[in-house]
Amino acid sequence: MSTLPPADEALKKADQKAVKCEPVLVKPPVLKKGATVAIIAPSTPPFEPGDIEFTYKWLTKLGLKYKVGKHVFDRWGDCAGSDQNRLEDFHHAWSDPEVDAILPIRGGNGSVRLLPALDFDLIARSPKIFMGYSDITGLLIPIHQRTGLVTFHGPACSFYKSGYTHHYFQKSLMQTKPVGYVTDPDPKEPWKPEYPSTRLVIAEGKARGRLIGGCMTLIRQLNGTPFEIQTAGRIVFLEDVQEEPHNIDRMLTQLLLAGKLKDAAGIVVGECVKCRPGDSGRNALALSYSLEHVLRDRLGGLGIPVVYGLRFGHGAEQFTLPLGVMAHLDASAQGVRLKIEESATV
Amino acid sequence: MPSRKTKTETTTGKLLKPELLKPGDAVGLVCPASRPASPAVLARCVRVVTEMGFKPLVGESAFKTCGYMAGTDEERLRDLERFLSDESVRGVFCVSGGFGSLRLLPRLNYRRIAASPKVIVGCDDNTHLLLALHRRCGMVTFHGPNLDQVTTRYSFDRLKEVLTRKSNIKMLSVSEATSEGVADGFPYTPVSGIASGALLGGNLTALVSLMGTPYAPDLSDAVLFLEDKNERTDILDRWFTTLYISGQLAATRAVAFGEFLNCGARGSNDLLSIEELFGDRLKQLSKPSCFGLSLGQSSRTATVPLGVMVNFDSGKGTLEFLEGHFN
Repeated sequence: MSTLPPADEALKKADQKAVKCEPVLVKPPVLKKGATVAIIAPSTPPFEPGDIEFTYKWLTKLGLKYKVGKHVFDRWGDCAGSDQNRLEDFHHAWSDPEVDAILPIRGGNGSVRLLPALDFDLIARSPKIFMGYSDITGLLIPIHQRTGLVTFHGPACSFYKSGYTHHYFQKSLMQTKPVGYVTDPDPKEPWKPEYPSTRLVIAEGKARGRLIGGCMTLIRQLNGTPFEIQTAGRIVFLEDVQEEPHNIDRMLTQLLLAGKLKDAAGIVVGECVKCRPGDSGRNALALSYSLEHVLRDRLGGLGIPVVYGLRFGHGAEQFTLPLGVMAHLDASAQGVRLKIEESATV
Repeated sequence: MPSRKTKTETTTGKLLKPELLKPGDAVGLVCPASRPASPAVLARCVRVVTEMGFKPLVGESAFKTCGYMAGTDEERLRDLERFLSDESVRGVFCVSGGFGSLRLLPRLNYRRIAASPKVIVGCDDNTHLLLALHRRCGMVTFHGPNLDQVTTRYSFDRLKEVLTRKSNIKMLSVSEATSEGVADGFPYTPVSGIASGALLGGNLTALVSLMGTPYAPDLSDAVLFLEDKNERTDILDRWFTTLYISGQLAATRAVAFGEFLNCGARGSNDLLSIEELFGDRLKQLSKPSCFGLSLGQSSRTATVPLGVMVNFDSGKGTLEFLEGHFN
């Protein structure tokens, strides 16, 4: 195990790298009580009207006001309206001076379709909080990489289903102190075994790097395009939902062949809900290889720390991961510690 | 004939064509991905090859299991390398699809394989292998049924004809795609047009798995063909979007859509079909394109060589082969 350089040196090094290949990191203004949130649907519309009613409730509870995009309930196949209409809502939210944060109602499908006509300059001119997960990964990564803006991987706004999730929403967005060590949710039922455990070590080690990542399917969708994920020196976080282990093998193998994991600092795999063999209900190729087996096989020998099970992804409990901020990962037989070292907002 | 412009790693447009197969030639049967469904299926595949007049050699890993794969990476690689680099073996047939060939790509000895190019045929997951060998060795590889899919006289004859005759493949047309259907042998054409280029493509999921890696094909000036199986429409739209966003779709000359077996919108009537989702982009790019070619994984699938020059007429739904595929 190589010893880590002191924090400030690592920061300086990462910053030098950032200047070379990425724009300077931009943090959005902190979300204050009384601020206004834009609810939009860059991918798929809400499942049912009740989902958005629930969203209004929790936003109000936190003292936030909201505006709803014109096309949130539109339909074009499984997307919330045509590419043009979804883009219109998206751009409107960034240019509206009253809007402080932009929260997609859900993921689904369709965000990557918006990229060719997305106005990145508009985003760079008016940095705001932008947070989502799943299909929204297709916007989080390109926006962060093109503009330097810290974007937030956390639930889309109709998926706030636990106190844990709300706790991290407030800790990450509504104050300017670094989040620090990521904790576990309280066990709901102490006698019920949970798998994966929240902190399963795939490979031991320590790493410091800026965070990047999201839903694996979306990372795969961006590969080979001008928006593909840049992982050098980064702590890469990955998750997916309802994918067979062989499909995750495919996605990880593609990342390996594309050279995306060889110079990453570390890898944090989230909960990966319904990724047991046969769970997808489609294309099951084997019932014997678990996701843990695939992770050990593909990521165990990279020489960087790899952990699995931290509660982010598609479960009810999700902590917030800000893309671009410094984090420290320590995985050993004694346990796993992930520290978000830097504030994500100003 | 229009000039070939697709780029490979080892040649500047010069294509390595294999020798045609002759009766009595030894051929290897491999499973670079998953194993076949049963020993009976494997035995039938051996019989198929024997009936074609070749001498079958079954790879040691062909009926092993290692999770979803037929044997460990080492075992599958050993079989593949052994057959691909053995002078006395003239062809390599993939027995089944599934998943696993992608994992072998960084470990293949492409230089040695390029030294004696030979027939390799397969589809589905094995598309990774076909495209990687084309890219890294400049080899003509064959997109045709995996042996466990050769279940009709029609597909047997078509496969055998392509591998044993030196002449250009006869024109492929959507009108011959069906035998008993009524009014279904016609092209559905988002953009009508005629284009020539090197034929490249295969399984859409596999093609997208190569994106961003050193094994991805360069689709510039290619006539691209795509197929897939057992996949949801919205997932196929994801992968087609990748081709669009990457600029690869714009760089092609034309797109020919083959079979999309058991693909659909989860039984939902208000979701869009792939014809709508893909057609949208093709119209925007004015890319000659049609659906309905018999390229894919059905019992009526044609065997086609990757890398050879073709002339595609999307209005008529025809694919004309402008050059031979053998040395």
